Amino acid sequence: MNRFNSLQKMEMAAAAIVVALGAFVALYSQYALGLGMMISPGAGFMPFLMGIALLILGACWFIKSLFFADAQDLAPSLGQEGSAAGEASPLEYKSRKHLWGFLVILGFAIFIERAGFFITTALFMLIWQLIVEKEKWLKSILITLLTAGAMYSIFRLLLKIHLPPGEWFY
Amino acid sequence: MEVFDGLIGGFYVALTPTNILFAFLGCLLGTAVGVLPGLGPAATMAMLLPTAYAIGSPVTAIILMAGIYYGSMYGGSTTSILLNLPGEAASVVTCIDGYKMAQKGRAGAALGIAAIGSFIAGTLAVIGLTFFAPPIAEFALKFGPPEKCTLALVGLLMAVTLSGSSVIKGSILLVLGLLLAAVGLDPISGKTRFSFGITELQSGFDFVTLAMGVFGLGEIFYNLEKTLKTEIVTTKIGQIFPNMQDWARSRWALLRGTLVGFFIGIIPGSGAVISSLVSYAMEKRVSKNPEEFGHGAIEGVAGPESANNAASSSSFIPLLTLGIPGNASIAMMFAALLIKGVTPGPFLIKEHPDVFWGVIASMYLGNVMLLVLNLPLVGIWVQLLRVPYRILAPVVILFTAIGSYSIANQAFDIYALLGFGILGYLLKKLNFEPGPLPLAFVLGPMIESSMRQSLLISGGNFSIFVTRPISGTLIALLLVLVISQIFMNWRKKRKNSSP
Repeated sequence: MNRFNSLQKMEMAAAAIVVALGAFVALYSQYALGLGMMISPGAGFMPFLMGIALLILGACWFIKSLFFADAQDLAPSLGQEGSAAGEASPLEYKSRKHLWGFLVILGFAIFIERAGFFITTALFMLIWQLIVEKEKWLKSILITLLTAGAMYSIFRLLLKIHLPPGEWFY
Repeated sequence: MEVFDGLIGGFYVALTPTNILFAFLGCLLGTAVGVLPGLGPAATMAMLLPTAYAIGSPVTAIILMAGIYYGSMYGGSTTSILLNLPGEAASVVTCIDGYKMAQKGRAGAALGIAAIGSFIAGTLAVIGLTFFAPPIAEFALKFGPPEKCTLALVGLLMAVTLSGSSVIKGSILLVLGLLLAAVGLDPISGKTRFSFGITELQSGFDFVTLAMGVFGLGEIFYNLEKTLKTEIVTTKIGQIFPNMQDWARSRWALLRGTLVGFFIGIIPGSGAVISSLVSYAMEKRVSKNPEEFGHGAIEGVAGPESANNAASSSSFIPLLTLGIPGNASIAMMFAALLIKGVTPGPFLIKEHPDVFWGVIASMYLGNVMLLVLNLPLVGIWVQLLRVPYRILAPVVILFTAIGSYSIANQAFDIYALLGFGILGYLLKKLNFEPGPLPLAFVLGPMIESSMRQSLLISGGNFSIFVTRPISGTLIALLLVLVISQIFMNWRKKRKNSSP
């Protein structure tokens, strides 16, 4: 029973966020966008309906998580590889790689226009191999050069997509 | 005769060297992603959407995407049979008997019947698509704004109801998709919605960014957390072609699977996954030896594999004729066509016959290519599993990030991609089936404009959606479906709770 508590909490928190989002959307649509008239609906009409729908659906989800959560509904969220029994809560995880992944992509977004495509791509791959995958230096450099080269060839040479050269250098 | 003329025209389009090459590339990529667990067809197609900008012709873009979609159905069975590891969701049911056959040293026969069954079903379904699609498109020309709005909404709600996951969660995603589609400039009043002063948001979110974030990044984040391990394949494949006894046992399963898959594939939301489950249940029911199911019955591989391929072909019918994508992968094709300035729907066959017939003709070719790629080369595909995830994951991330950036040459799209990636990851954690989100997003603008036009026609009266014969019938159909689904769930729960 304890195992489901954290799952239920997670579902209830998410449902509460959906309710809050629905309320915000409905109010914003009514006051900031305007609903217009039935014969000629305004810019806020459809979003208002969606906001109300989110509010109701979020409330239903909250009530379902609170009173009717059963193992069948919650078990698949534990991951594909195991059955429900004995698995860890989805709030726990076996690896923090996804958190590193998030930070490295954030870095990529910050630096791509400043440092340019090639350097940012190479740095992304190097950091990934060294920090996230804990590979050795030589192997990491080799993978980095091959990947950055392949990416440049595909996007710039083959697909002729504009890639930022980097503000720091031009 | 119009059908044959159209098809001949389609073959002229599909048989150009460029289109043959892209069909082959699509089949190759599709088989690869079908084999690789942790990278589905929707994610791959999302990653390739930016290349649709670079590919000159809309026919070529859609031929590539279609190849990936039905190619993944072929490839998905390989890892299910050899490793008990479904490469994509529609092959889950193939694991049951396919893996048992492999354990008994009959992996070759299982792989062979899966590939040949897929070819027969895929080809028969494309023949069905050739003849069914034009009359449906003709009928859909009668649709006005109320019918369009109702059809899109009913399609979305069916996708939610039949997806097999929670109806509440599916509906939340549907509404969220419609809301995300509303961000940006309102085309009628010219007001900016939900941009909160951010200039880049005035033009709204791009479908490519949303799809790549939710399907590509979200899946990668989720898999990274689980530390996926690559298994080295040791199973001996043996003789690839099934023997006479296998044929005798499988032939009717193949045909039943094709029929089941074809009709289920047309319905939005059901598609390949449900058709393979229904086919398996049907084969078990009609079999003279149902006790063999689960212990290596070849019909348990032949039926579902035929069904999922037939479904993937017939799911093109609502896209090409009504402009309604039935699942996330088809939504990617919808978006690719929009990017190229082609609106899928009843006018497609008249305005862009090259696209309509070109893609159908390419599917005939694609099925032959896939048979050649899958039967003799199965050993090579299995070796693909040796590609370590530590290289695959960052390469996929780079593809999505650069792809997003290239849409408008702005770093903002990478931030949006990251946001959608986190959303996709959370959806997986909370056991959401993300399909309705991109479906609602691509249909959102059409639903809103047709709803507003309908209200204008009716003088603000919502009853227009019920009183018009076609839209009224569609709503009645939806009600029947929802009520029967509730009844079936109630019966299932009652059966499970009884001792």
